[in-house]
Amino acid sequence: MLSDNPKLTRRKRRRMILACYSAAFLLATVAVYLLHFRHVSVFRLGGYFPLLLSFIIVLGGLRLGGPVRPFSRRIGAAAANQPLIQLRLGSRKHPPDETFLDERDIAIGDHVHCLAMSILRCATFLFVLALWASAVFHHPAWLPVVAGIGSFLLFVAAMSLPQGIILRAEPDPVPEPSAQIAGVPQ
Amino acid sequence: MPNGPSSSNGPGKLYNRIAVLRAERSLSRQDLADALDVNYQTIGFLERGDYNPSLALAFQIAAYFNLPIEAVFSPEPFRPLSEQVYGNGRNRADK
Repeated sequence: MLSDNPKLTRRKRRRMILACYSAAFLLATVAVYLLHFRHVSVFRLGGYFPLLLSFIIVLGGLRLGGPVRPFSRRIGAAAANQPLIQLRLGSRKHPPDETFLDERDIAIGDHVHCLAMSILRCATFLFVLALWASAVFHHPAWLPVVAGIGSFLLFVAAMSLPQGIILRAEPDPVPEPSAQIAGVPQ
Repeated sequence: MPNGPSSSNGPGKLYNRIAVLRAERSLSRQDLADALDVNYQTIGFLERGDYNPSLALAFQIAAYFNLPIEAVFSPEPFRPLSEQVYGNGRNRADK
């Protein structure tokens, strides 16, 4: 499921995820602070939109050369014959000469979407529950701040979590050994 | 991460001889992947036992090597091919 980039090791991928989500959290905090406490106009924060898109693009995979191959690529003939429920999400179009998805890619794609959905479901439930409880019982001043940060992060996670899970969990591809088994002519 | 139709961690682990068969025929992973219409990374995962193929792919691999499926895949570890063909040294000495 990973693109062919030997330099992007698992350690680097994990650092990239941590950096992206940390930056998203920081940006959300600053944005909400400015909006709520400094009364900055929403239009002045227009630069946030490209930043938000950049997180989604970096974690979600680029059209070419991105860390994760998009889920919407064409399916290999062997995999297409599988009687599996296939969740081919996404609507991006790609040239037909790009690498297709085989049965392992599809299995991983389905698995990470299912896992991401479970995580988001729990996170959304806890987030809404916390907001509801805070609003009902205390009406604290920081409630809009937390609501803003949480909404921003939930949005980023909803758009990029499946790819983030792949980047974090997928093992590094092992290169083919140059020397074949002894005795076999090269 | 899923390891395939059945997990390779635990009782569902499937052993295979893909690496040996591929080496015997001087095929690269990319050659085999092209022939089977899968990603070459998947061949690596199959060889290391990190991914168990679907039944259709397993039959396709066996057909490609022109072997019965039980010669390529087994739920139990394979004995070395040389031992299977020639027996071990003790057996030959007894004969």
